[in-house]
Amino acid sequence: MSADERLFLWINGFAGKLPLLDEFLKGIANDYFFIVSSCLVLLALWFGTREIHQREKNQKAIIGASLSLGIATGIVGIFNFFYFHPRPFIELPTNLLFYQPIDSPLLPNFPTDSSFPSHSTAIVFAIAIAILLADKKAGIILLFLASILGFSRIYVGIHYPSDILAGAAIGAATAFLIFRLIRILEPWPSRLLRLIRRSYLA
Amino acid sequence: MDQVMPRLALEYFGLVFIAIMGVLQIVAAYNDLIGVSFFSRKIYSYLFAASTVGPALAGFFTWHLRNPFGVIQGREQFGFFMLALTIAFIFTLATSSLLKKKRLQGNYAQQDGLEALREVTFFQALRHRFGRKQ
Repeated sequence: MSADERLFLWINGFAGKLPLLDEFLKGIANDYFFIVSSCLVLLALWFGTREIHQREKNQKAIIGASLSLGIATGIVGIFNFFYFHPRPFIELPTNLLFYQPIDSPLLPNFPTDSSFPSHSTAIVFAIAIAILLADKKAGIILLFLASILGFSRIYVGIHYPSDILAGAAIGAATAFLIFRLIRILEPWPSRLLRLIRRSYLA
Repeated sequence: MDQVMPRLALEYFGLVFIAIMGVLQIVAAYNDLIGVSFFSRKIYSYLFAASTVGPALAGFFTWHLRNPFGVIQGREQFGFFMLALTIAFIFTLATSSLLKKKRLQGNYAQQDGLEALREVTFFQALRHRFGRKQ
């Protein structure tokens, strides 16, 4: 048994013992809650930053985050095309908190795509790192929450730790590259923002 | 199963729409964007936001308790999110412009960008820029 599988079984071994923690992490781990919350934070930063200079910085970061999450999605798609790794609940005795039992007559209700790398982790890390590079406070909060999401997806039994690490690495690397690209492309991003400002939306 | 997807999509769309409206009211109050706010007092904006964003996020948090079957795929999520964002945006700008039309009439946007919405509504600002000058 690999170290990855052993770590998965250790973390997932806590599932089912503390009902409150189970419910909390199930809420965090689902495909909607944290991704939508992160997008709402982006929206709040776009319109809610009072100081113009910081707002412009944040808005460039938000453009970067949006590009990053799209590109990270593409990279995960390419990985999935060339490499398939089954979910841990297919391979190992798992405390699966999230989906219907795999022998349920009401299938399909569990993901059939490759476990590696974690798509949702790639998305939330891309957003968190893109924002971290412009606004430390908001970025650290998002990064902390992204880490909880990653952990929760192992805890509930739908990803191996290596899936989460790879997803986080893809998201973070994409965000760094896009950040650099936006800097290289100056003054075009600033011109784009000025154009949006002229229509009172930035 | 065929019935599940449209219902889930509608629920997802509704929750995102409500959450975005609430977030726009929070930022309008926080950033003094009177022209985007539905209300004359900040406290009402925050109360409105609490009563929309809170339940919407709770809805997403408890998604799998309420919807044990069916999923919305990533591409569909993106599509519904963008649709809800656009509609919530247009709805907020149109409603706030209607509600604040009289109160902000006669004001003139002194600055570009969001700062203008501290003095006029979105449509007043657009009219000043592109329409007939007053």
